Amino acid sequence: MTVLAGATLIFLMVHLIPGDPVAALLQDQFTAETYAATRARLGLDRPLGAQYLLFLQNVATGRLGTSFRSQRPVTQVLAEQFPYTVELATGAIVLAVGLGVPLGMVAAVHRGHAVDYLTMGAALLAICVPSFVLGLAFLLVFSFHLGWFPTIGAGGGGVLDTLRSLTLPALVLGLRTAALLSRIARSSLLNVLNLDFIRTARAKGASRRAILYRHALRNSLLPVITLLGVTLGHLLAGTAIVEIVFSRPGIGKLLVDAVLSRDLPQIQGTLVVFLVIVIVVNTLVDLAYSVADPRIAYA
Amino acid sequence: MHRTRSGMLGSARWAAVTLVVTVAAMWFGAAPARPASSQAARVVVSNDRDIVNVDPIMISAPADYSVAHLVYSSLVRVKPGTYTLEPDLAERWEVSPDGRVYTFHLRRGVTWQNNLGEVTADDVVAHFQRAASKDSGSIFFNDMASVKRVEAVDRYTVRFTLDRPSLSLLTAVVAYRPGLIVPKKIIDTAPGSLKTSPVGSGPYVFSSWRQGETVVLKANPDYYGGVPPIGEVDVKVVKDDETALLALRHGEIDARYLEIAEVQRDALDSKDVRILKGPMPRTYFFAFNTTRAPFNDVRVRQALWYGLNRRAIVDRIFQGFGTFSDTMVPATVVGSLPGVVYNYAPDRAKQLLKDAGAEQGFPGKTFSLMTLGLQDMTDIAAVAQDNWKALGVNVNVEIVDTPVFLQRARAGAFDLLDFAALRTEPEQFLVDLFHSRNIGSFNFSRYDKADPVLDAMRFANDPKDRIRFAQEAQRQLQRDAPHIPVLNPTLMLALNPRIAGAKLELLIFNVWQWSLPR
Repeated sequence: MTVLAGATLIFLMVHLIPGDPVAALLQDQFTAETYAATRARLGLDRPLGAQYLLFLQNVATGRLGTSFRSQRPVTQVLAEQFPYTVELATGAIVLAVGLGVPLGMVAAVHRGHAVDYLTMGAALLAICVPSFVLGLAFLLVFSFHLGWFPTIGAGGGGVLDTLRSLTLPALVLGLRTAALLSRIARSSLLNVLNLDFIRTARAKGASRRAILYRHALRNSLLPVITLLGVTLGHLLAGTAIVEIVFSRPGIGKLLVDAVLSRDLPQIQGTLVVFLVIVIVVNTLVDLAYSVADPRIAYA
Repeated sequence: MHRTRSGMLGSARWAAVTLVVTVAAMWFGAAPARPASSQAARVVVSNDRDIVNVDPIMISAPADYSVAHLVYSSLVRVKPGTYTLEPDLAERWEVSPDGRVYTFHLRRGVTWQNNLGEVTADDVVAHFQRAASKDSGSIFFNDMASVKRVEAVDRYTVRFTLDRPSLSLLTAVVAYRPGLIVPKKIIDTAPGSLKTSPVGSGPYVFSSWRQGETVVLKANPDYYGGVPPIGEVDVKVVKDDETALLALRHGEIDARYLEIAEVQRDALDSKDVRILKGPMPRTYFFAFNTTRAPFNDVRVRQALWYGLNRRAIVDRIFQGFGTFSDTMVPATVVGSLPGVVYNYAPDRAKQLLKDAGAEQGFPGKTFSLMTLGLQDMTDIAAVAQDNWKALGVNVNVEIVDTPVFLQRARAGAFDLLDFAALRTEPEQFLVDLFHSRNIGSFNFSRYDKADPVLDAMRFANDPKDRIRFAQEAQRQLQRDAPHIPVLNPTLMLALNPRIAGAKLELLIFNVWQWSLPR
């Protein structure tokens, strides 16, 4: 039901965008004749209702139609691009969690000290700087001047080559999420550290390390998991800019190109895939709650 | 053996250090070295867009053409670095005195890639029949409208019969995108495969495509012109010029056309980049909607032309990388009218407005100036907005994307617009943009006063007549001012200095003529 409602919304939004896809496709070969012939060939001369039913039928059968520009099946194009975006998003999430949660913990444990101010200041900066600025700065410093990473592309010459190509884009994409996670992790951990059961653990003589890792951390994870689920949409949207800056293939860049050329089947297909990803991930996040906190159970 | 705790810790620390050093050595050891002479057979060129559809009858973007023209051959082609034609698949050709019959004599023994046999007249006929067909998905069928018949005289001779003479047939059709010949065997069996798996008879074979990133082409061992010295060409997608220049200077790419003036300036200042540059047949222009007041008054249009400081646009926005003239037809295109009439003259502009009954301009009114969200176009619009405000003509710069722009421009839903046309023939500039038959397509200004002279030009059979009519049309357009030509930018190819044999072309690469001298 959610997919049907989402798909309907996607279809309506895509068809409400002003701008003529046939004109964008024909560019300097536009004449009244080429326009009419192309419009008919793409099926745009059919009533909107008929186009909608065809779209729903395609979604139901997983076909998603044919791209106006490349004349290739949308599913085929998405299947080719999807691994690059998954690679990037996974790298970004790993970096975000790997950096954000420990930094939040460090800040919480050293609350009010220089480390806390430094960490949270850096986090604020990371949240404020736009990813394209950060991307270009990283390219200039780490790729061009230091030569540590390639300037363009997604690698492909082996695992190390792929990792080298992935590091900067994943860092740029994940840094903002890492910063948000660190702030949330800090405040959540501080809340938990002030609760009665922590005081009881201290009174019973539990070590500082045991209190932090065994009791406090797990109980402070719920907001972090929630944030991860919520930011997935932002991460997917953010891939477009990062893919463009680092000249990587991927679904984000594909979507931007599709929108700019009004490749309606490609836009619709990509958004449907995003919709399904967000639904699946949020379901997984709900399930993760019960793992993090056994008191939460789903019937 | 008993080991102390400190000894174990010491070992662990050394193990960790060794691990870090090993990983770092692997990491940085795997860094992409700047291309060395041992990699001499491979070059990387870069476009700002990925290929979309490389079937010659459907190519609408320079990126597609830049790949297709390396895979395919045409009957005749533009000689790299020039604007003249040279033989390709046709070793010679003749044109009848009345300009209506073109006969091409094919080279013998030229073979298709993928072992599809010899290139014959039947292939050429099947190809052009497909290009002329609306049902094939061809976007060039209109360009083929003057061609009444294409036939094979014998196995190696092809004859085109035209309804009327067309002096642009060779350059605009036969030697351009729709003229890249595909094999009849594929047309008959799997034409759909040509969109992303081209098979031609050109210097390179299409090897692989990682969408959004790289197309790999390999040298064609059977190319009729000899095996190209460069064995592999990787065509990489890099969206923006800044990143492309960094990658070029870093040795990750070898060639790229740069279009942003700031980046062109940076490239010129770089010691590790070689530059080829020249005038580009692209004209930036403003178009008036001549059906809307006050732009239906020629004096108002002329006033805004005199009131636009085009030298400032060239010098400040384009950093001197460009020239301005008073015609839409760039100086590199045949028939261009030289000279500047509309030098920047605000007083003259005010006088013209006064003559039109608008001495104070149009106070209280704001006109829409539609433009694309590209840096150069919005900057040009901003200068015009400022210049024209001084005349009392207020414009609101409205930024839209290409599909919206084209839809509104073709429907006449604007007051003024700011655009650029990239063409190679006088007919493509003048007929496309000013003939009444193209109102609703590229005649944005909806101007219809030059049809007779434009028809005389496009159906001329004598090259001198073609030039004469083209220049007459341009003089009339200067008088009637439906457009303001703003400038022609500089075409700039940035190269890795190791490349030899590169020529400046129109956003394509003559890689089969390149070499990498030691």
